[in-house]
Amino acid sequence: MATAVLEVRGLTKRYGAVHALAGIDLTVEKGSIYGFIGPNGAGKTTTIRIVAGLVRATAGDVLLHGVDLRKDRLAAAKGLRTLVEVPAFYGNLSGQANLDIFARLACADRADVARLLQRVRLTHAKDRPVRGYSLGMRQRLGIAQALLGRPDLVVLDEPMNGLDPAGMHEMRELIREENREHGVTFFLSSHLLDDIQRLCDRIGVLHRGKLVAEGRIEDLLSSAVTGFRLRCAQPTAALAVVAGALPEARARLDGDGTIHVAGDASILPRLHRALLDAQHPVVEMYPVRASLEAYFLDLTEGVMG
Amino acid sequence: MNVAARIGRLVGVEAQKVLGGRGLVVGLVAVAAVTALTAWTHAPDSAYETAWTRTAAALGAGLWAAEIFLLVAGTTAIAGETAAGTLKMILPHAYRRSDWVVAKALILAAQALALLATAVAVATVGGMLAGGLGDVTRTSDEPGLELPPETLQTAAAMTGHLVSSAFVSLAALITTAWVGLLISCLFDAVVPAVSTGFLLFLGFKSAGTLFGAGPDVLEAIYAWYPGAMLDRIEALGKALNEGWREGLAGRGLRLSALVAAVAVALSLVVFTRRDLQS
Repeated sequence: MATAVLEVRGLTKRYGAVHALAGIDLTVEKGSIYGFIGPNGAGKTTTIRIVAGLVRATAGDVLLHGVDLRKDRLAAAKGLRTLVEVPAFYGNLSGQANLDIFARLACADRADVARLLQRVRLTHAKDRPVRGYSLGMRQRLGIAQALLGRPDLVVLDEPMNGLDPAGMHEMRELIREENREHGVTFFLSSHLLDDIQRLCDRIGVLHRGKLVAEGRIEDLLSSAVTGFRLRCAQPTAALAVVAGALPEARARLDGDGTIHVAGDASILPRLHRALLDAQHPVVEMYPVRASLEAYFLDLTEGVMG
Repeated sequence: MNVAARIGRLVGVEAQKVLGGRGLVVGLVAVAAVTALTAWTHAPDSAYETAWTRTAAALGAGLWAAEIFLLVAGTTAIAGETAAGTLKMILPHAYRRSDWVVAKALILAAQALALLATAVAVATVGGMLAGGLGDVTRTSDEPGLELPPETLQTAAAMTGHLVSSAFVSLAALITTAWVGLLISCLFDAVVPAVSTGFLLFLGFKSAGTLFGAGPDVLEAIYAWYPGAMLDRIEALGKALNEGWREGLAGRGLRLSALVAAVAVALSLVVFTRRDLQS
């Protein structure tokens, strides 16, 4: 059974009359990459700030390795690293000096600083003051500081911000590598659903302070079937049959010779019967699942992050 | 890690930040320059002016510059990090917020010590160059009467008064910095924190003028003792018929200790309960 690295139970945060978080529960398992998505203002950053110890929860618990963050912060936050929103550094100090400071905080050795500077391709700029770094360079330095000392759990808030496509690719590789080779668990929020889909094992969808969906991406999307694609021996004739029997399914013939019908599993009995009655048996059929984006938009009533 | 190890590590981090920046160097140069300039330009207002009066005046000016620097350093200690966003980078690590407050307070105290040492060293050199910090003597000016000079204050006694003033000054400087630290815990931005610090400072320093507070009230609300002690050294240096006020040092240290302890205690309470949104 997988061990939970991060457990959030009934997490609530109120600012006056505003409920930023309305009792969310989520679990991040050891060795996983968990994607945390939601529209702007859904409460993602508030959740991350509470996990990071920057903001106190109104109610609920945050457990890291089973230890309550509020009751024993020193033990709970030992292997935790975070990067909240835009990374900030001591601008008058060099990239290396900044990482030295964070290495001291994380009880990491200097070899780790050199390794990570190289890994995020900042060795050439390590002696330059950080105030001269681009946003992308700061983001990479931020990721490097978050990986100092081989943490157990890294919480990243919008880690792809400010990165160009090559930088984003590199960041994905870095996250995958640290996850695969060193067993680092990641909890990352992002607006880039494509990245979330490519990187994460599980996701949580936050909307108006509530977790409206949580689970493995495949499981969540498998429940979100938007239609079916079927192959028949005579597709044109079969299309006419389907269009006549199920007009609401908006059947169409696609370029690959398959017939696409819209609808959920409830249309299948009528579909099969119509085709069998017309002597056009189905040779092959598979469900069409929603993309993560379509699924997300459906859950959040069309509010894009 | 136990609490001492955690605070020790954070003091190392804070020292790294201070030494990596230019702020402290600017402060040290400013204090040295103000002290040296005062020692150099100090205009004697009586025939009894001595190297001790010059030293006391220069030290007083240097301490004023140090106080301004420490007020800024204190008020920006946490507000500056909040505004720059670095606080949200460092706070998630496995330390208590109280560890941070204590580490910041210790580093401010170390800066106060460095600034005081600079002011004392420059003021002493200024005094030595102005004729030497020897005994304070008085020579009879009666015509035809040649008496050996009368020693009013020995150099050792004057040095003792100066050392005593330096100790009280250190306590007062640390107190100013820690009051600044308390203000810093209340704000997310530098400008309101520094402005509040200066307004408070102005209120204390000008309480006599602004609120008509008498000397007793002033002495009860703010650490005026270093200034009073230096005034006394000036008076003794001029061979005036004054005595050293023995109670000043003790009262100054007690008031500083009380205000500093309250400031740090309130800083701990405020900072550990705050939500950091920015």
